[in-house]
Amino acid sequence: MDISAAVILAAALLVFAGGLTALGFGRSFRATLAVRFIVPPAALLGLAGCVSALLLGVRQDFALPWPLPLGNCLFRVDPLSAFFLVPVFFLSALAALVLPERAGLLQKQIHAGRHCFFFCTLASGMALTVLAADGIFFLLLWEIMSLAPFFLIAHSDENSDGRFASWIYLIAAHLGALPLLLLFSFLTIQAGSSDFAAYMVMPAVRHAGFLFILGLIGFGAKCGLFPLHMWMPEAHSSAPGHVAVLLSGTMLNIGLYGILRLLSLLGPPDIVTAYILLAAGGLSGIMGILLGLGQADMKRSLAYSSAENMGIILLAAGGAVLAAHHNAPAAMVLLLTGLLLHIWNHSVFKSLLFLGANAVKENTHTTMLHRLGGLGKLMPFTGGCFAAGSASIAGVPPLNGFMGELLLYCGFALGAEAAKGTDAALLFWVAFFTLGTIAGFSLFTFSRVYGLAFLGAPRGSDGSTARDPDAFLKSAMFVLAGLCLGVSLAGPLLLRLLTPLLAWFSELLSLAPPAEAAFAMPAALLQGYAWAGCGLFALLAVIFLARSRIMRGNPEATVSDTWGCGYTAPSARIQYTGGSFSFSLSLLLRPLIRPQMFAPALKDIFPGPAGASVSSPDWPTAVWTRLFFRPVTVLSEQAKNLQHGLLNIYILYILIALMAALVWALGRT
Amino acid sequence: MTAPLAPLAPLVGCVLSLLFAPLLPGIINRVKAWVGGRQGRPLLQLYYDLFKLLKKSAVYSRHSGWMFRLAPVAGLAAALMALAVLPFGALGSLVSFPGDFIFLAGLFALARFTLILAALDTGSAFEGMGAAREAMFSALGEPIFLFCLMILGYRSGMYSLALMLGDIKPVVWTADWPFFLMLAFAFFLILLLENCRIPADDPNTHLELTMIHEVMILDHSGPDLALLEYASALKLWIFSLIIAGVLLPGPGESLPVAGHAALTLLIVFTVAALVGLVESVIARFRMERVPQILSLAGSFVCLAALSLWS
Repeated sequence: MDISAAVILAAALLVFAGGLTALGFGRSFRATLAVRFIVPPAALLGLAGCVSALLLGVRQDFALPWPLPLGNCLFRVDPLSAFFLVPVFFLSALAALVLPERAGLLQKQIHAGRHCFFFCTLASGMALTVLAADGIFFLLLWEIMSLAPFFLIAHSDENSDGRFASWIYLIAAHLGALPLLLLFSFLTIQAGSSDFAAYMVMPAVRHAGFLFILGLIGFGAKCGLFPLHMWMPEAHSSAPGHVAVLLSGTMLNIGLYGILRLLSLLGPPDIVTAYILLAAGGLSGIMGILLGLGQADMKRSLAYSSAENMGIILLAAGGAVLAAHHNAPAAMVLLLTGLLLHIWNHSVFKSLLFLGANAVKENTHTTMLHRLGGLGKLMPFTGGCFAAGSASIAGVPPLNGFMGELLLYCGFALGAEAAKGTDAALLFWVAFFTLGTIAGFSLFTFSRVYGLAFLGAPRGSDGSTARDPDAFLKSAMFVLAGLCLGVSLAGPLLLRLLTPLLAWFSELLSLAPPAEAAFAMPAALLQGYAWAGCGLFALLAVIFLARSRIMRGNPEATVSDTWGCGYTAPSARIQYTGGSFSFSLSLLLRPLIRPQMFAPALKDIFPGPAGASVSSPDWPTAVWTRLFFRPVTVLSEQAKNLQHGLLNIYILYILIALMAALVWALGRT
Repeated sequence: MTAPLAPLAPLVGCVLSLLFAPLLPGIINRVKAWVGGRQGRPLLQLYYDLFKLLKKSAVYSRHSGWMFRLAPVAGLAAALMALAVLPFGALGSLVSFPGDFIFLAGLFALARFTLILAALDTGSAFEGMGAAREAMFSALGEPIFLFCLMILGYRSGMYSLALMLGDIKPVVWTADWPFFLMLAFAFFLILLLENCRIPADDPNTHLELTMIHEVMILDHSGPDLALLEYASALKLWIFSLIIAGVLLPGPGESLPVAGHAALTLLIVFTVAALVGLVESVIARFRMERVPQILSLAGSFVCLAALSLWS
């Protein structure tokens, strides 16, 4: 028995035990402290186990003697699950570290013990879901994991936004579980057993394409793919910081895990799978960032960008499958490496940004961009960390966000070359172009979010008392920002860590173990990027020192008003706002973004005060409402007519049912 | 060039670039003046300006913080790094790794990101406007620039700038000349947009409301402004160098490396003169028409890509 696998399972169960302990403290604040003392050590233990399992390519089963009515209680540690457990454990530790202060701020509104219990249930639920190796058991854990955030998102019943967020989350989680239920039932019936290993040894899965689409819908709803993302902006923007970290940094990944696991279960994917993945990823990537770039609330912008990043990852997965079909192992390995690194990187910078946004929310009680501004001076630490996160997510070298994208761009370029002269080359080009477009828009979005919230002058009075948060939140942000800055220098090491997983997964996709040469390209790329990153840091330092030296020799610098072009009474209100920053782009891409603009009609010679507004509502929600939710509501309303409370009518129903059954039975014989 | 000195060749290219880059705005101005029948500023005006600015004291806005001071440093660092990965003719590049063409685009993103934020840091309405425009146009331009570079790699089968730009064989060039010409035109349009030249932006307008790049640096002064001006001259140089790389096939039997480098320099200066000519004959577009320049560049790179289709 392998020790690291046992450690991982024990850590996941310890995290759950932390939740039970906290429940024992009841409403007391000590419940949150119990979480702080139990969860981080357990999670770090699990993290160590994951790293060792990844390096050694461990494969280990644990069957617990717990009789389920269907299926078995079976856990399996393999490189894929170990890979996804790394962010789960790491971010659970950080989130548990910052939990007590966050819960303290909400103390009057939440039951501390219950909150901590559901927090730990979510964390350990995610870990166990990833470990489950039995279809039925997986669904069970999936439901537990999906249910826990419902109790965490809204911290008070009084807030209507929070109630709505929990409600829409619950609907999405349940609708998303439905296709998964179908998927695993079909698979289990076909394989005759619900063990994942049994699925994998099936010679040919019937209706594999249909099953894959079921999985894509179910898992895609969990990772917020467009157009199944409606719950995400609501839930992620309402959740308190430590919950948002788990939701955006890890729970989205579980959806991705599902998709990748499904790819491995259904046998070597066919070319249609590649097309579906490319289409779904491209759509989600472009639409996610387009809907996010005009949001007035910074947390909503962050949530939409999650849909974008999940889209990038699926785009890469589609590219990898396509490359496998065109016999381009180098492109496939590049794309898979980029995909895996981007999953980790996204967990890091998105958690950092959510923690930063949460610190803003705690201090200013708002995350609306038009009321913020100039926070970088009042909260310099948060501002600096948020800047690192924004630069990273915007894909700026030498930070970590660019590292994954670099591999993906090269993977698409190499794929196009390998598929020279076929239609697939065009597809690779389109994927390359799509990735470039997404990167361009995400730079737009995050320069807007960071610039308007943290730079310039305060736009309202909300921010005047803002201060940096407590030491725990600061240290969590510091760790994450350090990773954003430093991970790109450790690219070659990460590749070594991921090599067993890469080899296993590329063998799954292309039916043949990839040659050593296929790993040379990502290694050279990551090494080049690491050195170039060092060079860039060195250049920055040298130029900065030279500049300081020159400045010291010059007359003293003075401080004055911002240049006003002759206007002598500037105020903070003349600054560009979120709406004005994205106005032109929203107008240009009107058919896709569908901004709502309101401009007053000015009639008289001396018009009175008037207001204008630009907003970027989530139009897919409106479409879903029209196409699906409203018909369902109408149908439910009409179903009420069946219920009269009159006994004779119910007896009539029974008679009709009996007659129908009789007719059916007669028809069969 | 003799063999023992060969490793120094990329360094020579970088030094040439660093020395001559501030000449390009001078050339553009002289061409514009010549077409307009004026005498114009001295050719070396930017050199004088840079030295003058370096000796001046700075004035900072009371709203601005560290981001405002970081932008000039990051802009120059990005430009220097870009020079290191970009080959100067056949002299090779200092730093080269597969995928460095993406890194080049990333360096421009770094400079742009910090400059947009520096503009927002001043809390000025004008600079916010410039920042929004820059963010928007470059978001639209980035995929096209990347695609141009990728197509170049696709044609050569090499994905490092030193190999795909600096090593185009004369035979290949004569066989595929429509591809290279169309690509060079696409790069030229992107140059106009990225370097804020007419018709995308007018660097010499007197009205802040109509500017993009110049309005973002309104509040920078002294050495900071010198760094920014030098970085933007280097950026213009880098784009011209890319065009020279596309237009000029590598050195062969008839053309030694040194002669090739001289020709590269000549093409770079010609590109600057062309920019001046374009600025003399057309006016700046309305803001909402700027994306049309990009669509034209996109169309040309698509045509170039299709010309490789077989």
